[in-house]
Amino acid sequence: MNNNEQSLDRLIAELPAEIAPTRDLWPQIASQIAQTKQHEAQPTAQPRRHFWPLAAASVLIALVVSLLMVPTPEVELVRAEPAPDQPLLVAQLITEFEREKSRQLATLTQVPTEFADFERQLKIWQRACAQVEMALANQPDDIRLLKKLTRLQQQQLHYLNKVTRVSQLS
Amino acid sequence: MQEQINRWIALAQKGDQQAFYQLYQQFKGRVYAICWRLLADSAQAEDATQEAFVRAWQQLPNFRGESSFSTWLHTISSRAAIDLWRKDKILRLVSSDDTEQSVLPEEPMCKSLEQAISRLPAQARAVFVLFALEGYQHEEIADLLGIAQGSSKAQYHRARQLLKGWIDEQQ
Repeated sequence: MNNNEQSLDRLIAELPAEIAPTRDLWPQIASQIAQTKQHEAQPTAQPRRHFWPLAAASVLIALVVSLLMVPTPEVELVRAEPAPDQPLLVAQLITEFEREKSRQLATLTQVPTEFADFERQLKIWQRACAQVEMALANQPDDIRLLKKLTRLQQQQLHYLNKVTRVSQLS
Repeated sequence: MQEQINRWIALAQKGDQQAFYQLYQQFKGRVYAICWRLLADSAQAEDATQEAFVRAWQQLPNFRGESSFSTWLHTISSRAAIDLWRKDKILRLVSSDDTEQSVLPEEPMCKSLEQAISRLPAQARAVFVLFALEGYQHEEIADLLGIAQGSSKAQYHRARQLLKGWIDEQQ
């Protein structure tokens, strides 16, 4: 194991100081700095390209997180009256997820051989999501189901992220 | 070369975008490297790199040369990448430890340490990159990532264990 320690330290020391970006980033930087004044200490940054979509997503996610943070002892999991906004929240969550999934898929140019079955994997997740969504339609106020759905979505995005990363590295 | 860089800095501080372009050309590889290692995602690393250079442009008049330009830019880059990392963590809804794999061997064989690092769980990766590659202390990392100092140490230990496991596999 001591050898491994040394090997790891040696490999770390050998890592290159620079990695070339895959594309030229200057045009976008130039366009942003053209609209940005230099300053001594500017408290707020210029609005970013993705500000509004991110802001909308953040609001949605803050809502979901606040729901998930509510203590949920077993007796409270099924409430007598479903929250009226819950189905809307689930719908927005699904829309947001599908948008991010499409974005990731769009960046996938070549499927790495290690992930040749990635479509099958996604279908398995999709089936699981569909079942949870169906259960949520019947029990829209069940926090456990909402948690399960977000976790399944997260797993898919995490997996897709790995596929695209490996695709870009290979 | 350093004199040339100093000239570009002085010109860019006066608003010369062409000089700033030269600085971009000179340092883009280093900035992208830290962003990529922290975020392990090309698209996000590109966003963070752009953000880092825009922030550098904005803050350039404040640069007094107390540290080297490279160090100054490095700090800005780390912060830009960490801001994105934190935002991404929030967008992912669940804590990184909740769903991420705890062992590397589930993944396809990594071909290099770079790839092995990129497949570490997000928090362990961020701590590892900041501590082992960028020279931050655990106290600073805890502050930057919004975690406890003990968590930073634990995540670093975890990252090293995973990477040593990866080395075992290679042998």
